Amino acid sequence: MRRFQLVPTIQFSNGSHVGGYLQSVSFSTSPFGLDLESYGLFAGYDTQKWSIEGYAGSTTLDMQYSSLSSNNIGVTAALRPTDSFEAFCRFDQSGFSEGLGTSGSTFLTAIGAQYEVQKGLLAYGVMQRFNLRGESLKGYAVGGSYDLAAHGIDTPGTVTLEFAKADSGYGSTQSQVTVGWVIALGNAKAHPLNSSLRTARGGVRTPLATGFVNFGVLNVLPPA
Amino acid sequence: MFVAPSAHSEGLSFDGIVSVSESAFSSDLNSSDRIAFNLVSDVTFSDRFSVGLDIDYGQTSA
Repeated sequence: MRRFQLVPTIQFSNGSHVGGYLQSVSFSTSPFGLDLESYGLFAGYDTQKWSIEGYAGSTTLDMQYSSLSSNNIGVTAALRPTDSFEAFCRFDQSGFSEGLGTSGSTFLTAIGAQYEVQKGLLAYGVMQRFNLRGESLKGYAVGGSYDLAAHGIDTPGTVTLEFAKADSGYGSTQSQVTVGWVIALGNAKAHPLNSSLRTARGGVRTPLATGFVNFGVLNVLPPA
Repeated sequence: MFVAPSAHSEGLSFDGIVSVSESAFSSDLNSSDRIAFNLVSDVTFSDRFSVGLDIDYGQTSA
């Protein structure tokens, strides 16, 4: 899986922002591959205690023998009642049409929370649901990150750990364990990237791209 | 203590997060592993304008 995204953004002094995104996702596995090309516009508002952002755009999905296009909308919101706690949610919808005139919808909903237990020690929990043509894929994840330098360990980076479970609409269950190492450059703050935390907070736009990043291609393809 | 590298100059800055991770998947049907590289970054050109760049790469082996 390869994903590339450019996001030009204009930030205003009142806390609001507008921008656009151009996203390309490709996935190849024997015996097939697919490509997702997405673009759109977004606008949002940030304060110290809460933030909200919405987007709208289009996606083209090319597979070996077929293609489909979709119109996407989505909204992400976060609430930060204290400096160390954040609750967040997202809702995305894609209405897609295929070459033979058929159509359908894809939904993605997510809710979660993260808590900074102490400086450099983060814990989080996430629930996500991906719905494609009435088939629902549910995901649950808990995880955390530990900043080595913040705890006196003379090694750069933050280690991350996530346990996730996905129940597909086809009667199968997948368990997942992810171990990672993260380095922040400049003024960025390290947080788990290959994680349900990132996708549930809206870090990947459009339901299909999020589904591929989060659950894997086999669970999000339309039934044959 | 580790100090992260920085690329900031007058009106122009680069901030980002780089991640390397490994995932193990196990289902009723099979199991697999995935190595992933992720980059989330922002190049800020002024107080108001920035361009974000994300790169995600994952290699799955059965």
